[in-house]
Amino acid sequence: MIQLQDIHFAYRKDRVIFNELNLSLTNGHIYGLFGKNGAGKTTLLKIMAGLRFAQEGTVTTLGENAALRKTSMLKDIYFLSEEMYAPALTIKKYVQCYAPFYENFNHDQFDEYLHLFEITDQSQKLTALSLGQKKKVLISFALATNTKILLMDEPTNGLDIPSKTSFRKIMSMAASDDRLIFISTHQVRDLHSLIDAVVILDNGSILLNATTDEIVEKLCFKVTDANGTDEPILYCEDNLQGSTVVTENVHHIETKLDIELLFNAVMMNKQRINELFNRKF
Amino acid sequence: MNAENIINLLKRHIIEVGRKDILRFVTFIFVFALCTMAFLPIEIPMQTAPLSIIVLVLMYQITAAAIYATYPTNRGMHYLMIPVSATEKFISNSILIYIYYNALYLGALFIGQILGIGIFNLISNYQCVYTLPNIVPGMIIIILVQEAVMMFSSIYFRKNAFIKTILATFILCIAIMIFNTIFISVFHQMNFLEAASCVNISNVTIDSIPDWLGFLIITIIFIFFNFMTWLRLRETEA
Repeated sequence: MIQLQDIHFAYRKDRVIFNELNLSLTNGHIYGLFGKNGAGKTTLLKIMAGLRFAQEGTVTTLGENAALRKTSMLKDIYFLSEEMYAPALTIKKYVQCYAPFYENFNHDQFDEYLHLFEITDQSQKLTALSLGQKKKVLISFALATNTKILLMDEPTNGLDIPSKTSFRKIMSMAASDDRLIFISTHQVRDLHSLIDAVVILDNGSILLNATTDEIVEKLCFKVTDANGTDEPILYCEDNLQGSTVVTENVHHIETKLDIELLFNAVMMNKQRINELFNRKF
Repeated sequence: MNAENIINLLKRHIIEVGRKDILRFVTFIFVFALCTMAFLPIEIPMQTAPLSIIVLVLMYQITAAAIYATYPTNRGMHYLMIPVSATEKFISNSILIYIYYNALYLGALFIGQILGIGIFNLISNYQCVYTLPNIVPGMIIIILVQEAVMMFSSIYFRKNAFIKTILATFILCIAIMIFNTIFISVFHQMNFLEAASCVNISNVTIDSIPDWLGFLIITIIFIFFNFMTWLRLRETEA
């Protein structure tokens, strides 16, 4: 669905964001995009949506050159940016304004998502809502468009704890086999039970692009004492219970993925991770 | 190209800023009516200098409103992601800027003046009759060109497009005058200050060139800026 090949992108000559970046994303997955501040997560989303143009390489989204922003592509992609656009319209009017552009927009779904987010009054103006409430309305709208690709930049920022739970519930309802959801975030715990694939971005290239199943097949996440494992340790973090470690999964034990530990392990063992997940992204 | 997409874009505009436009329309009627009443005892409407200035200022205001409503840079990303083609966006914006906002403005001017004269006749002993302002076709073309330049600059500049365009136009005029002065000083062997005194911008008007040439130049400028807007809309990044 989205294919990036040998992408080079720089805001200025001395500020290269991506260099020979390759990434392939397929439908039926909820991807989590992780990276340090300034790694280029938002820029990557914009390049996929055709809002930024790579200086070199090719970006194919839904079989089209993303930079051309063809209507056929735009109809099936929705980009929920961190900087939300919320005009001085009621929720009802907003839908009246923008829903006609999306052929598969489902009003019942929109109402249901709003209901789950506990927003019942659609006559409220978007400008009168809090940041979190605005976000809930726009997330509901984005999901109700039923586009094949949904790009979300920090969608849980500004949401309170119960809303984050609702968000996960709604997202799992909206996910389907023919849909690709790509979420960029810093708040790894918000997506923990939601994503089924992880993309880690660092220094202008993709360090890891793997499904959660592949990750737990090759890596082990466990709490142990200092000498409690014979497997090669990739990352170790001391805590009250002992040490939380990420090791290579030599004995093929199934453990629960911890994205935060995975991220740190990947950052500290780039070469080894590349060998373990040996493939071209 | 899909006509439904253009209609949806126009509907979106009316839903989003329709109320503001109605408010603007009513305010303009009120201002034009007041100005007509104030200047009526002095001269015929539209021919007094202060009234002309007010008419011009409000015209700039409506141009600014038009470009803000169509290409607001602070929501550029959202606008670019609306699933219609750049051509459809360009056409809907052209309809809004060249037809809708001009009709809104001229309508307010017309109603305002009739209202002003009516009220003036009611409260005074005069019986003034409304005469349509003498709108020269050339003036309309110049307004359209000005709007075409504004439409282009609004998508070219990311922030404060209106002020930047006014400044850019001003700088361009100064540059032309300097170039003109240098040209005169070189070919007439004068020093720069003598040459500068020969340059009179008021002589450089559309009347000093043949009608057909003036029309051709203005048409080319109009087409050029519209084409640039369309290109820029296709290639702009957010």
